[in-house]
Amino acid sequence: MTQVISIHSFRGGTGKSNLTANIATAIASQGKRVAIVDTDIQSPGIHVLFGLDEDDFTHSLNDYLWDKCSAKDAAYDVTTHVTTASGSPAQISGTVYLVPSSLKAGEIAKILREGYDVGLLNDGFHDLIDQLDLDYLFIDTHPGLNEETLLSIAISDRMVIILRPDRQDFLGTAVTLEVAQKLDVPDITLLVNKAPDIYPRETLIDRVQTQYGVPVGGLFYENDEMLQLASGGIFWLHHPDHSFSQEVHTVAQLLLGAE
Amino acid sequence: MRNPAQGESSPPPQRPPSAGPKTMTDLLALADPERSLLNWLVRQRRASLADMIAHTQADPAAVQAMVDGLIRDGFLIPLEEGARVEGTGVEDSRVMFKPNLLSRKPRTVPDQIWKALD
Repeated sequence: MTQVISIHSFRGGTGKSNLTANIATAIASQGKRVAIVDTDIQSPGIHVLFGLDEDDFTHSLNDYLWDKCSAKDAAYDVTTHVTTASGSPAQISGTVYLVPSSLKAGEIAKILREGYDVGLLNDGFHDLIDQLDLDYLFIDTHPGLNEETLLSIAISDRMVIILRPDRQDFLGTAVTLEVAQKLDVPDITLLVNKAPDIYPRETLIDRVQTQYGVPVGGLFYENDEMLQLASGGIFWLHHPDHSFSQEVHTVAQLLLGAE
Repeated sequence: MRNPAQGESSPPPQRPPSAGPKTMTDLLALADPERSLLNWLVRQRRASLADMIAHTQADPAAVQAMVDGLIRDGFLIPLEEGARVEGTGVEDSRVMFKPNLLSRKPRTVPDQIWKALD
């Protein structure tokens, strides 16, 4: 049974796309078939982490939503695109597909202006699951609550909410959780990202879990190596022994365990 | 003035005024039973009345009434013409229903702004 996992954050800049790419690739490294759909139509970007250039893709999610191609046509196998720190191709035993959103201003504007049939997006997710024989479908969402995000939340088997230890994030996460409960999301996991190292791990996890009554699946500390990589690749492949990478694999195992 | 028939319970949430298609935000504003059914239907993508009755475990006539209301308000569309099952007043279970949801309603931004982005 394919797991549909939406990755969400109430505010921008939480590292949502970065964590999505890292966790999805970690799951693929366990032999799984994984796809990521960039539904952040207003501000797409996750393709950069996979070394995919705008010129590398003929079709995007936008084309599918305008009936110009099938969902599968807009899915690119990016497994061979991911590299290690030495620049050599990473050895991933599974497969990672990416459905990018268009980076063309006119195409972004068209979606904002006209909207799209929610059922079509939902059908596209299921087409991908069937035709690519997926084990996991990750939905990288636009930050905050909007119509597209609500759909992604509504169709998910699991919702992963990323937040920083920041008062604005804390307030926004409470709102997101309230909406997720209204949409009957079966499982919710919180990931705390960009934590300053002054916070002891157990104290911070305990504080977040107590505040929301929702389990924290992972805690990621801010680090210089991430800043230096600057979305130039999949972090755990570049720094396999880093504590951040170990935490990525811990979260991947958590999601694999829920199969 | 309170209608005695209503007792002490709070008034039901108002249905959105216009027919569909609706948005996910409209879905959030529905009362719990309708929202719960529609949440399930969004995950299923489409379902027959029999599927909905089996899922909700509710009285068939009540589910039929809920479906009728959701169709009337534009949240659901039947995929094909159905017939009433004789003697039950219930819609033929072969008729499938799907959510009628748009990602967003048309924006009211002036045309020249959109044209500048084309």
